[in-house]
Amino acid sequence: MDHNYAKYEEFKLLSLLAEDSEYAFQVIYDRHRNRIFQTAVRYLKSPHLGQEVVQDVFLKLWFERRNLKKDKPIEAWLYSVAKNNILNRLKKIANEWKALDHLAHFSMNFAAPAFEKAESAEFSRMLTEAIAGLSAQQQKVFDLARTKKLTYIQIAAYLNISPLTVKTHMTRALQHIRTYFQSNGIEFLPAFIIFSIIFS
Amino acid sequence: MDTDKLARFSQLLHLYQKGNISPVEQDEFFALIATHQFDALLEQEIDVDFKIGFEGGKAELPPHISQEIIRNILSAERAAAAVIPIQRKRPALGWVAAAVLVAAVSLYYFINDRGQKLRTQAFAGKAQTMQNSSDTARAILLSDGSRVVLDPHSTLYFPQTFADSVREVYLDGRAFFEVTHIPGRPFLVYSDHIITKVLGTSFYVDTHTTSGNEEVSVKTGRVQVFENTKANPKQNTATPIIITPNQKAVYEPEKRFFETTIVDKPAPILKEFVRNAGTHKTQDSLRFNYDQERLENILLQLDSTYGIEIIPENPSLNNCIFTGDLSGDDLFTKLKILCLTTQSSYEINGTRILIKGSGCK
Repeated sequence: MDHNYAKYEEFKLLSLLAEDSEYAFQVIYDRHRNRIFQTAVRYLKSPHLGQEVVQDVFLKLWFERRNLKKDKPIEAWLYSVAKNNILNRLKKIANEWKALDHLAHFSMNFAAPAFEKAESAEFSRMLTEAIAGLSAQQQKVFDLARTKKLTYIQIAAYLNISPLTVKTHMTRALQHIRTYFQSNGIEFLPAFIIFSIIFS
Repeated sequence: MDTDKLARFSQLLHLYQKGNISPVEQDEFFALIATHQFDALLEQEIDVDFKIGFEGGKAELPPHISQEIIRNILSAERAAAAVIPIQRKRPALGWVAAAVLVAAVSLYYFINDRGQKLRTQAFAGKAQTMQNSSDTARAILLSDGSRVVLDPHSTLYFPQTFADSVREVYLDGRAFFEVTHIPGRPFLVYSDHIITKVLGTSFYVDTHTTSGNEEVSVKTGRVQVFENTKANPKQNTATPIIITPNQKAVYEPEKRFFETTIVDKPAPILKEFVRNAGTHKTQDSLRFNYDQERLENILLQLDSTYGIEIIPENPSLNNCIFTGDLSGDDLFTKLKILCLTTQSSYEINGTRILIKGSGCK
């Protein structure tokens, strides 16, 4: 397509959009939605969150349709809005992720490991019992991480949930296991040590 | 800023973008993002991805979701709401599977000739191929909600959407299946020599055993195994068999015969686990701590925990007394200990275990 023509065409589209044309809106949407969706999924690792980003970005476009500058490429406007949306979501996820770690490590004023060997029969019996007390979803996440050695992102894709939800299940599961060990008279380690013993 | 730190951050970022980040690395990565020291770098990366694009970004919004978003936006103006949540719909599973494919394993996506040929034998229609040439297991979510964990160096062929009457996939290698129960739509796994039919269950299929046999092991539910007569168009097909949890069907291509036996590592039957999760009952049922207990009762408990018939050959074996804790051991270790203390031995006979010995008074 000729460059000037493309510019003219976009100018026409934005003019129509400013006059509330749903058709013009649909044309712009169809051109850019997949690039925005793909980039959002690349950073948020969840198709569902990707859809939310697409919706937020185009909702803003529709609401702003009368205030857009018609001589500026709409692509740049869309990508900038999408970039900020993705960035904000990613930072929010990172903060919640960190909060979960904090929770797991909190109140970890415990002494040295009570078990020298993770493979001792007593350890594996108690671990089996502790796992039996987890919710079905926690058991599933824990099992995929432990026996199949899948990553958070792989588990998330497999169970069709977000990686943050996977992390939440994992953290709760490890907390539960630690509490279970404690209630059986074993002063136990911070969660990350349990993690390294179970997953070593 | 410290250049080492910056280098570490961008290393983690690239692992994350590709979806190859380990749990420990992901914790580190998100902790770094939360410091806000790397905002500028992140922003640049996203900018570049928008302007230039990136490898593997092929997932598309499926048409019905795409239309739903447009409808939401246009109706939002009337409602004058700033944010509308997207409704999560169950039937969207089909496209989720496609997204998972592209996002997680786009590198392994390609069609191979042999697979094509075998696949067309198994089912008609548009097929997806998932070849796992990595060293770790790969998870696949199928369009009916069924899940597959594909072992390294294995390939699964499956249609984009399943037929109305039957769900069919083709496997070369080893995989674990968790099949969504849909009445009237059986799930069939084809391999070179056998067909495994299920209505909703979880099980392993292995076509790459060292012995050259093909094996099916059941974790939950019931599975029926047939000989694949399309691949083996001779007469006298092997008699189909049904296997239950902790049982295994072994097919020997030479003999064209199914043998049923017990899996190598029987696990407590999963259903019990889930149903009683959190109650004391489960924990008791997994406790094998005995004080002066009759062997009869111990064998009954093992029987119901593992779903495997354990039969004392001689009734006087029931009278033997055992004291000790077997909780941490697997089934075969438990049996070894029991046999040692009661001067007996065990033998696997098909899908049963026989206890042999002179017994106790």
